[in-house]
Amino acid sequence: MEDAQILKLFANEKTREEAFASLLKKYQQKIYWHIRRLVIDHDDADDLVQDVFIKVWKNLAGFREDAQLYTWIYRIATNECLTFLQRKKQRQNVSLDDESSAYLADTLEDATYFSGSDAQLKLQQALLTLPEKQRLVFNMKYFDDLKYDEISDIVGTSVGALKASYHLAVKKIERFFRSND
Amino acid sequence: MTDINTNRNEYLGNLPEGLRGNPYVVPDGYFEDLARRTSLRSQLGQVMEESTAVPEGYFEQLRASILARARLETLTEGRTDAGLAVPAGYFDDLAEKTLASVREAQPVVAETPVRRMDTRRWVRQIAAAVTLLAVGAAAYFGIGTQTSETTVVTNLEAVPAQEIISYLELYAESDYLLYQSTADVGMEEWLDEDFSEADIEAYFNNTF
Repeated sequence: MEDAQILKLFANEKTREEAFASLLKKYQQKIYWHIRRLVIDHDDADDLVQDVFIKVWKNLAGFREDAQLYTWIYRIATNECLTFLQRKKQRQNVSLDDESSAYLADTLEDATYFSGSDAQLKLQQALLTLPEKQRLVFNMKYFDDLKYDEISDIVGTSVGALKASYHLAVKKIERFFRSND
Repeated sequence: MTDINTNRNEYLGNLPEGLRGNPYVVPDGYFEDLARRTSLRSQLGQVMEESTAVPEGYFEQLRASILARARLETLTEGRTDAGLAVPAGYFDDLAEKTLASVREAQPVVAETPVRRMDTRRWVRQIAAAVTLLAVGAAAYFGIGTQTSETTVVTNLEAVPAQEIISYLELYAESDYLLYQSTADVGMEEWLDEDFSEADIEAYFNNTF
């Protein structure tokens, strides 16, 4: 179903639930994987994806359509993840100066529902050495294959800065692979 | 949305192609069930919100109220005297000083002397009044051909002066003259006192 159709049905109280079910069907996997790649753990991702769609349900009536619907949902999901990770950092007494996601290394090691190769595991470990926002940009570019202007709409950073961030992320990952061979 | 093989590979560097695969998996049937669970959670959240609803603007007011109170606590540093101080030992002497002031203060009395009458005098005055009325009535209704005025004068001459004065005092239109019963506590000292000429003069000056 097209986004415009979903929004039209959602505006009508009688068809609101039907519209929301369609929206869930269309975006739930994309949003889930976006969240999962950031928080690593399936149970955490499960909680967050539901929180995100509940927020979507509550705020969709006020959606101004000045952005794409999926961009708007991505933005909500991204903010929820970053907030979650910040709280997790505080609970684990991680220094605020430490911008990396190294505190998630144990989560990755203990993760059930991981069936990647050793190389893929190494990539995930490399990604955890990146600052969270850089890891976010890399995920959206490399795994979700979003365009830079789409990522710019989601995170509110310029395209130029995003390109530079992604380029640096790739260099760091290459360095990690070389030093952990 | 998809821009395959262009942007993605632009800064791929030397990363192996095979890394692009998704290493994460989910429980069986996870996505099939996700919509139902999300909907359920949304409904539960709504119920919980409704059961713990607070008045509109409550938390904003609460925040403002708490901040104001915290500022006040900081300013007053927990004091309750509004910062006002008193000299040392002030309250220790206060009662004594107040009593002394009360004793020194002039009693509040009427400017004119307060006449106090005992019951016997009341009876005498009533008798005088009755007598005068009787005389007056007789004169009014006329005895003989004498003028009422002459009759009154003649009849009045028969009335003792003190009785007339007492009568006049009784019916004086003055707010300054006070009569108090001998039953008043502490008033015994007034009962037998003789008034001086100055007192009487002062009385008349205030009465008329």
